[in-house]
Amino acid sequence: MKTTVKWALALLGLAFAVGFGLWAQSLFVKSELVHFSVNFPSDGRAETMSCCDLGGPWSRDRDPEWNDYAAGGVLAYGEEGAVVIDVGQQGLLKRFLQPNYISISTHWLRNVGTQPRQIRLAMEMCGWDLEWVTFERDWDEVAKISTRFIEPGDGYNMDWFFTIPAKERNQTTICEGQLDVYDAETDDLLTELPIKIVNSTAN
Amino acid sequence: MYPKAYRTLRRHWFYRILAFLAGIVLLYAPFALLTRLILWASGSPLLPDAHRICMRMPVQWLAQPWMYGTMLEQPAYLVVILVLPGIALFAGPLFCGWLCPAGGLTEYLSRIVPPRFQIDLGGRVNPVPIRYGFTVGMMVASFIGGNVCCSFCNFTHTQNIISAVFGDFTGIAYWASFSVVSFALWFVVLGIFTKGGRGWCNFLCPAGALQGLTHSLGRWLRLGRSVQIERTRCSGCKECLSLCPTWAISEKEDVLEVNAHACNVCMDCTQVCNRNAIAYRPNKGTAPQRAPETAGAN
Repeated sequence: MKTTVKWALALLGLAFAVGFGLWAQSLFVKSELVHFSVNFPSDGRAETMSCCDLGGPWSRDRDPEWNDYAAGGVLAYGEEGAVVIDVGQQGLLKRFLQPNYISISTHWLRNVGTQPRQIRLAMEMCGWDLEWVTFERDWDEVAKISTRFIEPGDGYNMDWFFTIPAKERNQTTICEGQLDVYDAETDDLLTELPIKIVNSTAN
Repeated sequence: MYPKAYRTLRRHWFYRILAFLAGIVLLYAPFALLTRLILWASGSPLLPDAHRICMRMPVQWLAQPWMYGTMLEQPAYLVVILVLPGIALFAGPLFCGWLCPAGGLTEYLSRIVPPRFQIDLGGRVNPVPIRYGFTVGMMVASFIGGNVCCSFCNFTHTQNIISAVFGDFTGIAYWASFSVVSFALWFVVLGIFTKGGRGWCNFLCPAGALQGLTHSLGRWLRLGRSVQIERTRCSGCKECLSLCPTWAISEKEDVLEVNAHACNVCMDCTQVCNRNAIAYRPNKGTAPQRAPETAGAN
């Protein structure tokens, strides 16, 4: 095989990888398998310290005794604020095959404080049934508590699956839900994260 | 309906399928015995499954030095960039050809589909440049906001299938657009409807690309072993070429040769050659290649 042909094929493979990756990422950040980071504690402020997108961690204010993350954030991409899932931006295949079954994930429930914490999670999504799935070994499914202490700088993982009622899909704002992170021992609210389901193409 | 060579290969495939099942037991939930060992030794709090020994992200991270610390902290990530290429340097991509459940699943299922229904690219397409280009593209994509690791992962599909077999349908229940595309490519188009069943492996697997690279390096450095053709014995029947699942055997100026970048040392070819012309031989001391004698002289 001529060298020029080999290089052309290699560029073809490269272009395919880049193109597919950009397409997949555009879905990851907006509508399908949306991932986000959540940092706790937020030092008594009931504000979000989170960002959308794959990646993380992101820390707005660094605790003075914790040096691993620079104040102002180290994330390559993403924004602070509510997690927004826009079902109107779903890919064609998702919209055709399975439009109302939603998954959101955090692999970066990160302790940005200085003391180890056990956390309790609470999520409310407009009264919908939620399926909680994690690849953490130390998880109390009933109490929704991490049964291990999360060390400073360490993280925790959780995925959620739920179904949007079909009759509610055609609305600009379908649901405004929330994820709360509590200290499992003291029941202090460590941070809260708004999660919005919208449909930018609703009539 | 099926090539006669399939009968010759039955015994060999029996051993390969045993190894394939061992790969599932070692790496995939609900067993994942090797993964459990690594997680226990490293003190990881995570549940064992195919994602813990990730075969894609560490390859991408080779281009991201700031991730090297993560890989050292979680040694399971070192399997695909150190252990498997290290083995391939001396013995070839034995993981690919024998253990990998993702590649093995499509290969063995493809043998059930009659060849006339399959895309036959053996001897016609050299997949190696495309696979290297794809692997580099995976690294490039991460710098410009693309994601090819998780969105294009056939190992996840394999884990989801195996989990479903054992009653956990979580993985197969959710369909993302990119998951549907990657599944269709891996399992259907480049899988069971491609002759050999290894189209995905040949074109799109970064783990295979890395192992192919070190395998060819090992051959060039005359280290270890590789599948080679003794040209003085070869009659040019091309039985090996027609069977090779990775299209590693090609004909160049009437001479058959094995491309070490593509070969996964499954050794199916060595079983069907009735002249012992193709064999898994030491690279050191390989006889100089000579032009074959004319047909009939052997």
